[in-house]
Amino acid sequence: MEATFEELATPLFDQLYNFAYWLTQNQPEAEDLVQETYVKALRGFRSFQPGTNFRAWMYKILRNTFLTSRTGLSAKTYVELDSEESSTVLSHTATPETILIQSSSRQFVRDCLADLPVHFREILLLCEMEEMSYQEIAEALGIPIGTVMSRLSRARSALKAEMRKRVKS
Amino acid sequence: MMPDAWLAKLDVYLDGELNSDEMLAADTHVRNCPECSAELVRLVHLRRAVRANHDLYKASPEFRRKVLGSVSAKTPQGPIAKWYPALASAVLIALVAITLGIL
Repeated sequence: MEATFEELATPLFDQLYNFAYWLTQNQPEAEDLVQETYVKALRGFRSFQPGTNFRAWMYKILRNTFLTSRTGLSAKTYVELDSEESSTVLSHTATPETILIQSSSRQFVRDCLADLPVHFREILLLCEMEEMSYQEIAEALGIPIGTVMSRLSRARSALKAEMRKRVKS
Repeated sequence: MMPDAWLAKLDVYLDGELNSDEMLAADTHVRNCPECSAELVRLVHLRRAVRANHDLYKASPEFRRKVLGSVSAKTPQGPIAKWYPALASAVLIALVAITLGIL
């Protein structure tokens, strides 16, 4: 027997809420986003193909809902202004950076992540916190796997750069 | 492959997304290249730092109940659950009838 929407969606609640909060940086907006996601997903559940990735499907709905929200619309400009084709910037900073990252507090990392453009923040969250595969991320964000690779690499470089900037200031 | 090309692939290597041949080649390269192994260490530390913030934001119990309760109410029930109220009523009526000595 096929699983019901409730059976599939309930275990994802906590991680979807966490992701929504990271995107919006605001409790009321995170709650609105999660609620709207569940309403849309329940309504559209008939269009979900059994056997395909339900988690990626739910994240895609949440993300699309976010992008059409007021906060999301202002964040979206980052993606459009920022070319995916720009070259990867690799950090060659030596040991002090490793020490900085190792000794950084959760609050410090949280602040650095929160200050990243949303398209960097979301891909880092999906990869590092949700431990999604590139395929899942590609499905959730609606982008090719090649773009997942390049954006992820640039997101990590941006996070390291943000950490360095904050330490210097 | 040039060192810069390996450096550019370290993210993918760390994420375990290279194919098996590339993984083996990367393993060998990283062991012998100080620059790549140092960058890999940096990436691992960065990953740990980000993951330490996993599950940082939690919904309030009220909000959780509200959303999941609404989902539960709107999810079509299976055949047993669908007939459960009628079945429960029938059992209750039978119990009352037995108690009153009707049956």
